[in-house]
Amino acid sequence: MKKNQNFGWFQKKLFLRMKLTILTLIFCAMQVSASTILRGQNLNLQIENGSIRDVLKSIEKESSYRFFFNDSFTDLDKLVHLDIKNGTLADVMDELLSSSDMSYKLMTDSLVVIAPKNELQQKKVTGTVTDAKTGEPMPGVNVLVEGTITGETTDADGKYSITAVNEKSVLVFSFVGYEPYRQTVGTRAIIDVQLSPTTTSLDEVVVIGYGTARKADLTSAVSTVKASDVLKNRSIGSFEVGMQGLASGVHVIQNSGEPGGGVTVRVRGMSSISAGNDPLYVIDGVPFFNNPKQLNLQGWQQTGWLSTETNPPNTSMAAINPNDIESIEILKDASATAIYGNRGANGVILITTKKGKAGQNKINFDMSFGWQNLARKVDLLESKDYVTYNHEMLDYLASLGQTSLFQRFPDNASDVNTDWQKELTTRNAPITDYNLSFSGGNQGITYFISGNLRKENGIIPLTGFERQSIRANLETRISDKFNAGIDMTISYARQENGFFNEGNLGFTLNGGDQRFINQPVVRAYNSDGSLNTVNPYPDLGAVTDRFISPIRSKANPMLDELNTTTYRSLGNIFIKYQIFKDLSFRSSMGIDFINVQREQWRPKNVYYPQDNYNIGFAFLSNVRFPSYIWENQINWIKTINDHSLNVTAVYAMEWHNRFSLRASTQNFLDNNLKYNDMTAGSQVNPTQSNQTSWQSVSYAGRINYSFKSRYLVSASLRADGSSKFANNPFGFFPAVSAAWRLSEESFLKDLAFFDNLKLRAGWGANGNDDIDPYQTLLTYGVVQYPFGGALAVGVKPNLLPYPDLTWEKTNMTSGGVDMTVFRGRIDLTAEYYYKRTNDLLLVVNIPAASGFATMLQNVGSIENKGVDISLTTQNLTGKFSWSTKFNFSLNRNKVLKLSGARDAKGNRQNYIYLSPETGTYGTRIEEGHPLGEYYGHQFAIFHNQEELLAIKNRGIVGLGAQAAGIDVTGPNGVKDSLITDLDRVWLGNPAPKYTFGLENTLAYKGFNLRFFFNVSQGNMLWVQNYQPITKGPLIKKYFDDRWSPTNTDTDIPRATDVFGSGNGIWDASFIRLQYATLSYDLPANVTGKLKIGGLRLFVTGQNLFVITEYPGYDPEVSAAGNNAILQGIERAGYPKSKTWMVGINLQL
Amino acid sequence: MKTKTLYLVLLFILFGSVGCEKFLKEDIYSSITPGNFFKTEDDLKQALVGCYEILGAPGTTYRWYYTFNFIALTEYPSDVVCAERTGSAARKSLDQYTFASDDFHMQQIWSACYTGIARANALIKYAPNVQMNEATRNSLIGEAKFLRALHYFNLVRFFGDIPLVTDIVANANEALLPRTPKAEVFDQIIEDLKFAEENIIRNVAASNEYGKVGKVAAKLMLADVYQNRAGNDYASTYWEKAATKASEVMSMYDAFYGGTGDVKLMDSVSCWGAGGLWEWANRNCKEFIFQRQATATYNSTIIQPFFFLHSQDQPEFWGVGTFTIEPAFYLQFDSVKPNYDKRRDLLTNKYKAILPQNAGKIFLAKFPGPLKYWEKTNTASSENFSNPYPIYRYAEALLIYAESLNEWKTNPSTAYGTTGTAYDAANRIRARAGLPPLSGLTRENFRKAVWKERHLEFFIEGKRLFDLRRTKTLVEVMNNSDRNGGFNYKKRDYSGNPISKLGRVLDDHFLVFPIPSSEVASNPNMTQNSGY
Repeated sequence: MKKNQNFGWFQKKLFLRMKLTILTLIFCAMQVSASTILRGQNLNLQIENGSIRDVLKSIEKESSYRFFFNDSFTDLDKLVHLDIKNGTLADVMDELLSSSDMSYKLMTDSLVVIAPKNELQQKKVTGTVTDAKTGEPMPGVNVLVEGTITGETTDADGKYSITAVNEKSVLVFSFVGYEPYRQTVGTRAIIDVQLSPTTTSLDEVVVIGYGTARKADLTSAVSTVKASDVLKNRSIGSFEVGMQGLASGVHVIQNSGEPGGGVTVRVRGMSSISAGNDPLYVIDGVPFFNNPKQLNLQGWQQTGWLSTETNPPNTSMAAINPNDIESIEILKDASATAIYGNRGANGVILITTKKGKAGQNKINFDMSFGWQNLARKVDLLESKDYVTYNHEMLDYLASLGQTSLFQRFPDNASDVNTDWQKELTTRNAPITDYNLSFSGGNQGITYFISGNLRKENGIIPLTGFERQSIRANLETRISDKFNAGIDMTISYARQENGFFNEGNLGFTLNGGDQRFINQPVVRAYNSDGSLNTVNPYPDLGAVTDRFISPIRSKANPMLDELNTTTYRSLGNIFIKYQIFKDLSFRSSMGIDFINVQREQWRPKNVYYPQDNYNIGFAFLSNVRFPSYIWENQINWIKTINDHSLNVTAVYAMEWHNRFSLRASTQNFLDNNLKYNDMTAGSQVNPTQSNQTSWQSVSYAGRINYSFKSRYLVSASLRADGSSKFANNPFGFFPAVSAAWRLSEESFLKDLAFFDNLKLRAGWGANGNDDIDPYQTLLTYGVVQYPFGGALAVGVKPNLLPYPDLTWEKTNMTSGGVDMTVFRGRIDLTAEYYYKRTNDLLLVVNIPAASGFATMLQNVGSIENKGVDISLTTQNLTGKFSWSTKFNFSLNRNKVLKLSGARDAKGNRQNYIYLSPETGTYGTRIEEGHPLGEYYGHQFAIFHNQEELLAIKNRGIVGLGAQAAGIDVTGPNGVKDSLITDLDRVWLGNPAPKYTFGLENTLAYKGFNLRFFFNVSQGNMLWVQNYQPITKGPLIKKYFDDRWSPTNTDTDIPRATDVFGSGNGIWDASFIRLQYATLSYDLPANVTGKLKIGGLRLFVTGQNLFVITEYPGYDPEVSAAGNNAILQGIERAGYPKSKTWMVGINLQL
Repeated sequence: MKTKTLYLVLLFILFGSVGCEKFLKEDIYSSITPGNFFKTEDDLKQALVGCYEILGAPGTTYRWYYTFNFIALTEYPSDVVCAERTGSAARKSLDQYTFASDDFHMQQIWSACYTGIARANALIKYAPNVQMNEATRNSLIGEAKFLRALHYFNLVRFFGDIPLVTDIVANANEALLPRTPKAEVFDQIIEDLKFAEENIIRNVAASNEYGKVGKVAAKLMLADVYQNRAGNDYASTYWEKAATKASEVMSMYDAFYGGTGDVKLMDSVSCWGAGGLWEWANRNCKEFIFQRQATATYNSTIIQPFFFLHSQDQPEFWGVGTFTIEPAFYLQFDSVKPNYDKRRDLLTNKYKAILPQNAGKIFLAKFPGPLKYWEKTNTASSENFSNPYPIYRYAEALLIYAESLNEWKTNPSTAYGTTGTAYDAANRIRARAGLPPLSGLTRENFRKAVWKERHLEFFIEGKRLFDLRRTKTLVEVMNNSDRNGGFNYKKRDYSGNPISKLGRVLDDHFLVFPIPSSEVASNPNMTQNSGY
């Protein structure tokens, strides 16, 4: 029973409790045999001048009673006289302790606990909790005895009753949305309490880099998205979708409608061309690796720096179960992100997962299910018009003496009129989501454990998404100074999407979107109900497989697959140690094990225009990606009078390793085995493997100082060393910011108008090192060459090393105002920022005489500037409440400088050479223009023969076209009647001019209705599929508005077989009802009767409608994923769905 | 306890500050580091494989060389292939001479040539340090020099004056080189080829190393370089050199002239039968002296689908192939028996459907497609083909001999050494094609006859454009050719007139291509060719 004297009171209690628990268990087990003997045991004691301690010892010797006490009680050494014969234990103890300040308690038959009197004296306290404003009783309020596990909740009438308290106990009353209230019990037996709603969010604590801060003390731009506001009652698949439109300055785009599909997140614009624009995600303090290119291998494509290729969809994010998230903080300006150094340039998203709270043991069960349907049907031609178009086109060409690639449909072709959108989508595709969590704890340990199971079926059959994940967040209190814990998640995510994903850019380049939509004249099913797999028009000029039903059914020999399975184990263990009162230390070791497997299958006999495969193709890739991070952190917090100081120092090491393997096989005899047995393909392609790794070391420090909570200053500096930069491993990223809380000044404080008024400004530097390793070293790679068909292995230099390579540097200056008025009724934040990125990691053309065409260098700069505004208003409070959240973002992106090389004529090269091949994707990077702006030929209608004949190189536009590029200029700056690359012009910007979100919440009694509009204005979209040609589907608009001698005022060509006529640029501005959720909480008197903590029912709809001019499926689309150069490109992406879900949330 | 924890904290902090430099060093797994390279004979051989690899480097678009870009750049701008049905604006602009200096084919071939040169330069520089048999080493260096000469020969023929670099380039600044006059580049080419000719041990590649350079290849290329140097200067001394080198190839290696038998002229030009030059089984026969090699799975070629011998049954590809043979070219072959030109059979417009729905069905293409390089056993239409691409074949030695001997001796009837007259050589080619021998021609008429022979013999082998440039007949031929011959397809414009293929009227500045714009922009010492 000896204990370390240094352990504090709290810890003693902890140990006591732990031991008691164990002893109780043991004694319970022994009870059956021992109880009869022990009960009624009487004692004989005769003590002269013995200490209490001695007495207890002798009792232990004589009887089977065992005492449990803290050795350090000084009272134990008091001397006593005792003379008791045949006394009960109570007789002995009462007399023994009568002179001391101690009391005792018989725990089981033979265990006696001795403790100070006030701890063991128990009393009962009752009372009522009411709302301070309305005076109404508040059910469900947590009443906790501070520092214990004892707790109750108020009943339907707001009443509680709590025992096992003593006079020194402190009761803590807490309820979501209300200020917690502490009350010492004292002598009172009835304690009534009034709780006040939280009027301002100023005391709210937000997570910042390597720490937390009071919102009031922030000097930088941090957006907080509370999971309870955003993710609750929505049953969404990913947290990024939940963030959409809800935080100003954060632009979230759902790239397509595929289940589990990719999302592009941009914080205050794009600052990089080659090194990535994705924000850094940090989950519970551990950076979360999220580079789709590194994790998700494409079939046979190679990655390039100036890449116009697609970024594959990313299922690694799906590892995070949105239900586990407590809050999401978005660090937007450099003064906040600089503490993340060379990874913070694109903003930092901090995710905090739920933790258990001592004394609040809860079981939470959520179950929801719902249905998805095609959100919008595109207005496509019916067979009758389709055949008319075909005939009109061919008649016209014949009148010119021309033939066409396309043949004439028989008149009766229109007898078949298949609505492919209907045939190819599933109605009411089910979604199910189950989530079960346990949370709680005691003084010694807190826990949150959860499990999630989600299954989404796509609106296209045999596509879908599935997640299984478990999480455990545990923290244990070893002593009052020493904590240790683990946050851990293990997840499985699988995406089955066939080829309907945004990673499939180019697939439909030549073929329209025939994989999804077919021609209406093609039968989906035969009369016997079987799938139509026979070409009804073998002699007609059209791609054969377009005459076969593309219905995704297991019976369809055309069924292709593209599946991605991600296993991810992510977690960190940590210790926290309070060195001195003001000084704490934290060390954590994070591990992130990712394994992504991708399976791809293209069946035999299906023609893929992209790569001419028709012999079956199976592909498997696997990426193994372990990361380790070790972070040590010291915090010093000191307040002396009006000065408060918060100092943080961080030291971190990181190690990443990536091993990839890919194999593919072609030429299958049949379609049976797919990727499940690659030996079934007779043509085996070389298996590739690759291993890379990179490391970093970081030191960071930050000082936050405030005077009277009125003048706030923050300064930070981070030094990052990255193995990717051989000669310049270390970079320094400083930041300073300051804020002035005017509302604390006497001249405003007296006005009582401003709850808060704060001006703040800051500057900071950040970096970006998101490039492949080994760019600064000369290395030789393996090549092969087949002499006489036999491969010989050789080597070649991989690159011309650029040893001085270093980070991209982003400097951001920002300023803002935070204002809360009318007792929290109106809360406004407005910010302006200017961000400039210099020394871009950019691929630069170098003279080929070097042996290489390009090299990665630090040249060029990009700027982003903009305004973020968020406004929250409590329009109505009271029984019926109504609040509105509005946020507005505006960003202007501009490429300022590129390589700056000069040609022989002294002209600076002011754009990046994109070859015409890649240029057909339609973008160009040029100084003075935003990144990703569309560039290409401007199309116009030829109204007559002369206009057409004036163009000399008509091959480029095709004969019979009614629309073609405009001749703008020639080699000498003069129109040359040739349509060449020189005639390309700027066509539009895919970035929105501004976006805003508007959320309304209405509440009445248990009912809560939230609905959210997401608005994007001025963003352009480039359709690269729905071509006005007869080989794919035909948008009705192209038919209705086509040029004809009687309809000349149009920009849509006449019926033509020419590909790509018309430029397909659309204004993709939209207003979307992103979601609406209605929930109902069962009143407390009902839940009280049911003896449950709470029960909520909800119904929610996602993507309920969208208003836009764009006639396709959805104006928000990105066929190239999060590629910086190709945005807003539509290429037969997975159509978006409208989802309705109903759910239940049960708290026990 | 407290002290212990403090120690622990201190330990953590201390641990963090040591070994940082070592920790930040990059670990390399999947590449070879240069420190220990170029040390052994094996290293040298591996580096040489790297030199060959550039000829058909797979995948990496910017380096497609003899798999695609060379063919596109030599065939579209000449008078064999047209881009009638391709969807690519870039190919159309090559075909119609509307290309500009940002043409990506030019950019890529420029880049590929210099990448090959840089690899060869490194080998040539480091090889002398390797301890090994002297003769073997010089033979390896000879191969690298041959390949370097080949890249420079292509560069001068495509672009005229170009930067000459024969040493390794350590950083981007060292590559900011000015252009070297064509004549100096040719001197380097000739010097390299002479070294190769002398030092390469093998005459021709053995069966297990097809694709490697032998002495014969060096001699034949030297003959070609000399002939190119002569250009249209009929008094040039290079004619003699060209004829002599060609004669050496013939007399030393062709058993027909009493040589070793390392090379021979195949019995027929057919793509069928044991003696057929273009029979798939004979793809590495003794007529092919130097070829770019490929396998279906590595360095695979894209020639076949682009010429499109097999069909996907897709009408938009009917006779489309990216490289569509001009009907006008097809009509140039004699088709009236008995003088039927057998080489005409290497063009066809019939092809068999392979999709099950139409299996076996014969479709008639609207344009003819070639049967050269036809990988009969491979019916896929993907890029995965293994057809080699001939860079030099023996027939060219005979035609170089015929042409240069005629110029050197100023008539086709004067014999030289054991290899006979210009007539003898030319008529061997004609005889194989089933044509009557040439006779009684003047120097000028014989010259034209050989030009035509080369045109018909080497179509889609990347020779024609360089012939038109060398002989300065490009402008005349391209501006005047009837580019709309019959072949079952007459393309007419709205007025019923044949369409002129060219987007503009040509002049002599088209005898070279523009320097790629990316080069001009990235190198202040680079000038552009006049007219561009």
